[in-house]
Amino acid sequence: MGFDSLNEPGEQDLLPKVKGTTEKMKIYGTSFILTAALLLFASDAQSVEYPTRATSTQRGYATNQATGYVRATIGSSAWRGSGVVARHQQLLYSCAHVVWDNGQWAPASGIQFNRAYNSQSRPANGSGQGVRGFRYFTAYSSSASQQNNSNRTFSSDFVIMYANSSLGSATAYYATDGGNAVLSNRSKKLVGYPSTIKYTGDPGYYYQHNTNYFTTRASQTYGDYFRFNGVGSGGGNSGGPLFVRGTNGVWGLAAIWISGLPDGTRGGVRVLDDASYSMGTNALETLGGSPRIVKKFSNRKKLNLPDGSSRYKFRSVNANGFIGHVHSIRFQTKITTSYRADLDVFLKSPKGRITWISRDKGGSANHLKVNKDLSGRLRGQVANGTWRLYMRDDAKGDRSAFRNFSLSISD
Amino acid sequence: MKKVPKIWWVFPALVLTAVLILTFRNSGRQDEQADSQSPGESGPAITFSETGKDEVSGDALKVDEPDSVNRGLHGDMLLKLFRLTERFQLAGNEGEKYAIYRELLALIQASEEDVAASAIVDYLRSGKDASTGFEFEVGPDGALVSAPTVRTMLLDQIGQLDPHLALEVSREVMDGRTNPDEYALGIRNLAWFDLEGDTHPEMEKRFSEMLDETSWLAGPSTGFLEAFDIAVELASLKSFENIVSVIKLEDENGAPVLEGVEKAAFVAMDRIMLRNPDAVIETFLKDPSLLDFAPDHRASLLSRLDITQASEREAFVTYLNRGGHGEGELEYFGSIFPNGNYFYGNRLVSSQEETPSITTIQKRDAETLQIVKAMIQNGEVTGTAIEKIQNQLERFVSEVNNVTEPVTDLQVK
Repeated sequence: MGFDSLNEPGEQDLLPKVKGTTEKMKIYGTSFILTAALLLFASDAQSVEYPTRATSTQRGYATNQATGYVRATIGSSAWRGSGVVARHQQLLYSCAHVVWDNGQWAPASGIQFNRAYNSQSRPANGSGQGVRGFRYFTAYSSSASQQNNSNRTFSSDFVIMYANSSLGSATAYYATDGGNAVLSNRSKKLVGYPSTIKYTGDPGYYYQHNTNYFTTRASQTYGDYFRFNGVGSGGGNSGGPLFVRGTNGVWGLAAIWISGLPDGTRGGVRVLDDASYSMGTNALETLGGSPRIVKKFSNRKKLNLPDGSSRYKFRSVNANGFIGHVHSIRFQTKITTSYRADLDVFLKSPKGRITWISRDKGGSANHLKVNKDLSGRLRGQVANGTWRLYMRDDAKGDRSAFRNFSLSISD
Repeated sequence: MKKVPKIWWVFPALVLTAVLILTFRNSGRQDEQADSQSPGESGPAITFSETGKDEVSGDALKVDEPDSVNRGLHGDMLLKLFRLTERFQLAGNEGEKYAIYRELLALIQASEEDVAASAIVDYLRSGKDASTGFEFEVGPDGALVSAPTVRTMLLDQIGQLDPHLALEVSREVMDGRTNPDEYALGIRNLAWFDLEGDTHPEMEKRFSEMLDETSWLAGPSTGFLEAFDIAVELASLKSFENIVSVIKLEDENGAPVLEGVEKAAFVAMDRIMLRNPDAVIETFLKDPSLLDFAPDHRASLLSRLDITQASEREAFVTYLNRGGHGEGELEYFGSIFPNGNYFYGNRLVSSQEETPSITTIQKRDAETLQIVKAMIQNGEVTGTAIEKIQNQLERFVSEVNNVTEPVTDLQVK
């Protein structure tokens, strides 16, 4: 019995008819091997967007005037990285590990910024512009010994440096929602000063590099740390800007380059968010033309509190329209009663934080009227969302009624 | 009957081969590393967003419902918590655990607050628990973004649901002292219950007891380290001294025992210095050998001295004149004084300090420069450090040329 007839009458051949087992096996085997080889090649030949020198004639991009080379001294070591002037001429954005040594737990000194630097040679010491200081995002627990998850550290790896004068007139716009920007398919570009391009092994020296425009979407990995597959750079690009093109065609700084795979085929960024917005606003105060948003929210719907009840009732306000976190917050309320100590009152923030206003205090005094600055308790909290005032009258004999409450918030 | 062609096996074989090849290629991926740091491991890609229930106008609770209904709801809720615990214990992978975590959050958020709170208390007293596979992660308001166990998750939630019950069960947890992450949340719930300092004595005591747990110090968990924020919230002489005593511990070779704690301690001390410099100065003037074992940290801490204030000026002079500095300490101090760096972060309890603006710092630098010049002129302080400070301040002051153009914010939608 052979393989003379592969198909029933009317059925189309998928492979050429051959006579004899050996020849058929040769064809099947060859097809198998070719397919396997093609797949292997395909999986090796992934495309990667990596930066090249900004003045390359092939790319034709001019040196980005807002981005520069950053140098810092920590102990006896000098660290290099990248940074970008954004939002205001006196603010320089970068990543924390360029200016802070997690091993020594000490801040850097002698930080220098060479804006739009582009040379094979290192900038001379003292040739750049010094910064006055920095604002650094960190956690108590992000120490080296706790780094069983480096993504957690990357998510906090952010710094805003500030200077006493302009760091350069070219200032990048500041995207107020970096997370959404990198998740989108909008055009993006990475700029910076890699010392070596990991993907190719080419030395970067001290030339400014940038990628082509790419539309790759990032994926959120941990908190404010997002990753791009197929986009790479090299050591030294840390702190460099990831620009994203906005709906109106303007480019904005959306994230800071933080990390990359050793083979250069993937990289991670720390996106700008409401916390980083507040960090910058706090540094600028009035220099930026009062960028703080100030709003008041009130609730005046009267509510009788059950007399002698252990259960709380609440009234709420919906705060909205803020970009940063709470900078200042003034709380006002009026609850009528003939025995103030009967009242227990607390405020709950949009994210669940409880702040007590009054609890069994005031004795037999009438009414609870509060006009209090809670900034010292609530600065740095998320501003947008539902704020609730919880109240109860937990002792019988005196009637109490909520009259109003308001929050005046600035971010 | 139609014959099946004998070549049918070729295409499935090709597809299977392709799958095997791609799987093999992807399994060799390397870990991500910071572009100027050493490699680390990757963690779960988790985000948690709130699914808050719809706003109800006015009433938090159905006040008129009979107790029997609430008891039924309570029992039902408690049973669901136990079942979710079992599912965590049986869950095989991150995806499953993530789904269960979301379900647990949704269950709590969909329940009446008093029902959820009382069920959580009974759950915590039952002793049951399961690992969620996630980290102890603090959010911007001190509530957790994720928790490593069901118990820590529920301790976090009850702090937001019912402060009275939260305090009661938190005290039980702290008395038991079995788990550092739970203890951290317990002390947080205690701190959240504070009104005008009435819980501060207990917070001091509990924080001190936490530091007495040598096993927790030796292998500090994330929650344990985040609880150093209690010392900042207190910002007292006692809490500062407690931290110093902890990081001072050395082994027989003189090496610090508690490296994992060192950074948390340093950040806490730095923030205490900002909030209550008198506490630090009093400690330092009482014993100028403060932090002899960590001279760079001492330099960094004292670089925050505001010498426009009399008491801080005295500490500054004492520090520079006393001698016995570590190698390179004064050089470092001279390069960072006056310290213009500030920490931000998500903390369990304390709020963000009001960090001075650029113009405030410029004004202070100008005043400080005048004081430093006078100190040098009258010989109050001598040496290279004070000269370096003068040079640095002169540079800062000469650089001042502020730009008053508006910011360039952009909404990228």
